[in-house]
Amino acid sequence: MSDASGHATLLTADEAREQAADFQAVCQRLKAEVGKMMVGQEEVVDGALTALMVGGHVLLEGVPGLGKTLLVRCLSDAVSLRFSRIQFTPDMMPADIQGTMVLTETPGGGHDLAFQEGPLIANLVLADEVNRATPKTQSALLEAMQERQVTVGRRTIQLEEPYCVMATQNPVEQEGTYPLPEAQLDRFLLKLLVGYPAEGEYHAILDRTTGADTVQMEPVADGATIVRMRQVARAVAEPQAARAYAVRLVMATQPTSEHAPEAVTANASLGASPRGVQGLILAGKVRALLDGRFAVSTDDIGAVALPVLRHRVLLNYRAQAGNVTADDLVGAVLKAVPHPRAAA
Amino acid sequence: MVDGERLTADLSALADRGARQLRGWAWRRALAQALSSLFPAALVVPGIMLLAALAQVFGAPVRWPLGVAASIALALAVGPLAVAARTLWLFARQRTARGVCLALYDRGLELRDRLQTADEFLQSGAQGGFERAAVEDAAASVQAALVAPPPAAPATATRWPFSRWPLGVAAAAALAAALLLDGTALALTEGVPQASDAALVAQANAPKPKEDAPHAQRQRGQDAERRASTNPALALGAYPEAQRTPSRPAPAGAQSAGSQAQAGARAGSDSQATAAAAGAAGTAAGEPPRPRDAANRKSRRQKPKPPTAPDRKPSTSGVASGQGSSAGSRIASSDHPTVDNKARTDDVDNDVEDDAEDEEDEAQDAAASHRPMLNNRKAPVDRSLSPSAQSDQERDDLNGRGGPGGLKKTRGVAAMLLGVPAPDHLRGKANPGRMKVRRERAEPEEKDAGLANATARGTRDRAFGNLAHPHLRPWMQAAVRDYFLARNRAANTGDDSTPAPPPATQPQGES
Repeated sequence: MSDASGHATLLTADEAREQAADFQAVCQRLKAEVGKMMVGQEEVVDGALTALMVGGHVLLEGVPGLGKTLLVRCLSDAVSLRFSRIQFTPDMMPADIQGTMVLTETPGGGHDLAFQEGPLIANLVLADEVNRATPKTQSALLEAMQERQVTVGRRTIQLEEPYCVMATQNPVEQEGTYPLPEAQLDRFLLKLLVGYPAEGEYHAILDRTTGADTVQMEPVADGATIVRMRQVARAVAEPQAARAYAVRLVMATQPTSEHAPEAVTANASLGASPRGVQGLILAGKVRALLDGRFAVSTDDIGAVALPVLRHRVLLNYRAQAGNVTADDLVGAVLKAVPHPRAAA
Repeated sequence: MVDGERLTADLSALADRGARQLRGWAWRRALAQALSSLFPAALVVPGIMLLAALAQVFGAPVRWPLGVAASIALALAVGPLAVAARTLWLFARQRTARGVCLALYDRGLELRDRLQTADEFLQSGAQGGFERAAVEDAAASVQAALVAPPPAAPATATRWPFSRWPLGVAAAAALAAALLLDGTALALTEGVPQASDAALVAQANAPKPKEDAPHAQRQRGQDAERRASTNPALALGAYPEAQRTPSRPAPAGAQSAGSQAQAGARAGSDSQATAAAAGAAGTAAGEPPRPRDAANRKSRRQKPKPPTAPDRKPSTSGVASGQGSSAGSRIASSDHPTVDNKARTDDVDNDVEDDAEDEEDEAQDAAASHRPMLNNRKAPVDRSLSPSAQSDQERDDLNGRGGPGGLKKTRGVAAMLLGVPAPDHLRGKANPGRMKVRRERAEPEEKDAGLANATARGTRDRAFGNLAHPHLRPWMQAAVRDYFLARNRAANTGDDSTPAPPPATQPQGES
């Protein structure tokens, strides 16, 4: 935890407990508010909240109609943040999302060039069907996602915190799409797979969406709260065991590593980067806080390994021919890498 | 507020309990690791036995000291002994970490690493709020762990080294082979009576049944005649050589065989193989000069020459005689007296049927000594007339005279064959290469042609146009033009007098 001047301040155990309790309460309120619209998809909602709480970005993947866009819209409604939505199309250019200079009329009757911000400049950005844009336009997100700034010409705009990009993509309609480059995939903290709801959840969806009543959502948190929660999440203790386990997991996804299991060596062409370790620890901290603990455990690391690592493992042709998925490889890594201090 | 020292003591107590709990697990783990050396260790004794047996077979004074039963028992016991020793060593080496002991409770009681984390933060003295909160959070878990029954140590599945089964098979095979070789060597060394040197010498000097010398001589003479009639080269070269070749008391090859036999007889007392070799060679060593050889030489000396041999003078041309490649080479080599004498002294084998080949070798040796560049150690000519399965092209050792067989090697050039045009070699003219002339007879054919009728063209009604005057010089053209212009001018003015031609102005230098 740091104060306004940036210096680290030592908390007492009671203060830490209070902050952890506050964190839990905020997350519970956000979850309850989103739950007004979203039915089921607990893991997806937890993942989106995790990314929002640690300053990461989320890539939501699922077939049409499963509520990917609805989830992001609900989050933006639950948190009073500046929200913008970008519907990516193949003819979209970087200036369409970053902003461009437009000719405006001055009060004196003259004309002047003024910068008009694009939809990328917001707090919560929904990049809908991001794989439909060309790589040129997709790459316009890179700077915003990593450096939290947008550079157009000689103008550099610092994005306001909290900043979060939640992108969606459809895994089935691949014709006319452009797969995300690895550099951009690596910038997403989590890749969440949105699956079909259960039978009971279908009834709840019908009740909420086909009736005469409309659900009204209210903001339960603001940007300042989210920024504060990010500091709390980052202050969670990380013991050496959890840290070593996270490092081993990431190294095991790299096919040239000595820790890589046979499945990874045979089927992966690229493994996770150090961003993967950062993602494991940060997501594990949120999970520990939500579980009422003050330190990350190896169980937390293992629990978040799949959404953190699945999009960072690049499959080779052999894996594609054998229908081996990235989830299979991450599962093999979890089986192969022992817990650092575990007896077995 | 949690007392840190007391919590540390409680964690230490838990770690000790965990270490005791994990002792059995550590044994099993060491055993699992040591099992990988079972088959490699089992290969050691059979390997040594096999090496000793092989050395014994090859004559080395090495003997495996144990019997069959003891050897098998030792081979079977070495593997488990090695595993046991390595298990002890691994168990003594491994130290169960404190964190692992606490992790046993963390996993058994599902404490989410609370004990490990608290112990780490207490050991490191972390002062952060969340670290202290984590330590205080673990205090209740420590108390619960102290009163809880110790969780069971994780079961370590003993991994049998099945992947190394080929080593086990190799060990069994090596053991069987060593026993077999050892038994064979024992049987060979103990079962065959060893012959002493005196016995071997006596056996070698024992007289052999005498051969009917006159009959053998007559028989060999008939054989020589028959071979000479089928091979004129033998008639030309072999007989004079046989007549010139002096007899020697003992062949060099027999002497060398005798020396080898004596050496073998000395070594025969050590091993059975050398004893057998000594017995075989000793017979040849002790044998006196064969009467067959003397009779053979005598028959060749007495044999009349073929009637054509004295009349034909040997060709001195090496080309005609086929240097070193046929019986005619005797004639060629006879041109060099020193070579011939050397060839005569080198003649060892007196069999008639081997004479020709020996002479070829001698000729090559002579040529090698006299003309080193001709030391062409080619394989001898195959005179076998029987058709073989291989063609001559497949048998590279032949030189085209392999008798009835496949394709013969080409002799000469293509131009020697009729119908193959030989290229002209004209001085100053490039060789056009092969030409193929093809003559075709073409009969003349009658063709119809259309008639062209002459038509009247009438008088000229227009100017011809400009005509070139390529043969007139410019000043001549100018003079002609001026003349006609003056004439036209006169006609226009009514003056009918013919104008005088303008003076021709010939430029300077023109003639």
